[in-house]
Amino acid sequence: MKSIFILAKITFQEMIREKFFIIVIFASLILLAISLLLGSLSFAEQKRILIDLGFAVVELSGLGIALFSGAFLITKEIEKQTCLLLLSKPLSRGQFLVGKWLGLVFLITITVVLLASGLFLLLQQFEYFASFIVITISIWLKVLVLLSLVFLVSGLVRPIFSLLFGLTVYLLGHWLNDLEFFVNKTKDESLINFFKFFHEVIPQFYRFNWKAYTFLEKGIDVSQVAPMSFYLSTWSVFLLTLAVVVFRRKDIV
Amino acid sequence: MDVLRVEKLNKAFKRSFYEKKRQVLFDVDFAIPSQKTTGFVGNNGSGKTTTIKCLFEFIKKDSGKILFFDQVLSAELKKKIGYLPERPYLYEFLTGMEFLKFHWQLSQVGNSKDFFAKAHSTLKLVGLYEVRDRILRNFSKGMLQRIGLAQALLHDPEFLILDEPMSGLDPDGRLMVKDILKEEQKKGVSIFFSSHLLQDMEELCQNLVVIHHGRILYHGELKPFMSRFPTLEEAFRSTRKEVL
Repeated sequence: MKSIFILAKITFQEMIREKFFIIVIFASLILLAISLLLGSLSFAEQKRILIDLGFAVVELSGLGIALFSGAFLITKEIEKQTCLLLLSKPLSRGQFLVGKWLGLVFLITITVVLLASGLFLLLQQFEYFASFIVITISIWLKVLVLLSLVFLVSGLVRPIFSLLFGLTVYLLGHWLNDLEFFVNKTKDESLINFFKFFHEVIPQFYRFNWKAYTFLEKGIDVSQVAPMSFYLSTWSVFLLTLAVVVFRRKDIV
Repeated sequence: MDVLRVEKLNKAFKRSFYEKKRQVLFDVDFAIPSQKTTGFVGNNGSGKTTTIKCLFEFIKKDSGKILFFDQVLSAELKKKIGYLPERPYLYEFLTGMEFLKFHWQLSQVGNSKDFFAKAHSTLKLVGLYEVRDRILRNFSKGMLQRIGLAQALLHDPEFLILDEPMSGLDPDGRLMVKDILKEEQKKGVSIFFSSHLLQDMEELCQNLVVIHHGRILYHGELKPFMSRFPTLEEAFRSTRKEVL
């Protein structure tokens, strides 16, 4: 366990120095400022615009780090052969992969917390605090599912395809309910049955897509929080386990 | 006792999805005796690095047996082994000391109190003590090779496996590595290192493993191998001709 945390710490230190991370943070802060500016242009919808755009920025930043860094991290280790020195130590491939994953989780967590804190400070409405935290957690957990997914896929195909696959699953996961509506309209039994299967094998992000002012204003049903945490955490653990299985079998040529 | 025994090791690779598998190691069979220095010699592409990667299971063998200290490789056994890969690309943002600390912690061999004394002595040994707080990005190729060697020596391994430890080094660096290997040998450390430079083998090794196109041509003591020839180069050339 100690080795995993040592590796996670080094991965975090490595990633935080990457130009990509600095660009993501700067771009996000600029977008948050734009959200504030756009909000201030509207008298009635000021908070709605700030929150809707602000949460989108938080999610996109986490998503950007998860997809880009997650897809390339392990491939880079293999190409540069830095992993050889580490794997010659008393460190299993599983521990290596989980350590790397955890390092990126630290980075994503800091990014999400930093940006969400900035957004909350701009909002300055403490009565929404509980809902704000739940929405932030839902964004964080969604990003972790995608991080685990790109870790898995990058063990099988080139990192660029892994990145594109992650992005596709992210979009599909949000559009599943809309797709279901259109599929049901066709009344084609085979298509409907296929979609039912498809619906189960893609993470259903749309169920926990609360990053809007409406949810903040009305408050999120507390009974939804535990199922959301369980559902998204299960996906993350399942995909990460598969990623470990794939990485254990991989030849590091 | 042998520190390493490789029996009937076979490996075939697929270079791409559409290509057929190509055999690269054919019944590779050799043993590394304890407390001796064994050279692993062969041309570029002969299978030296692939064999070494199979030892650590970086590459999964198709068949065969690999035993370290008469046991299958485990986390516990890895503590006894020091390894330097062919081109040690390292985390460039770390300083020399941070890099060694990271590897010390992963090696799980001692506490942080022991680390500083051990790190300082190892850095002095490889001639990098003065630049210990410089980040690795600013290290030259030779310095990277030497800090790579330092991490392999740091935890006082019983067995050292070095893949081309002298490649990319200037004459001073090569002399330094040779001296270090001689010192380690005096301490009773078993050493297995690959090289395509026969001069190094002649100078450092008591034993030799010769590989050519994935097949072992010779393994055993160096002297009998060379007995009929004036130099190792001649012996190597002649052995290859016999096979071909």
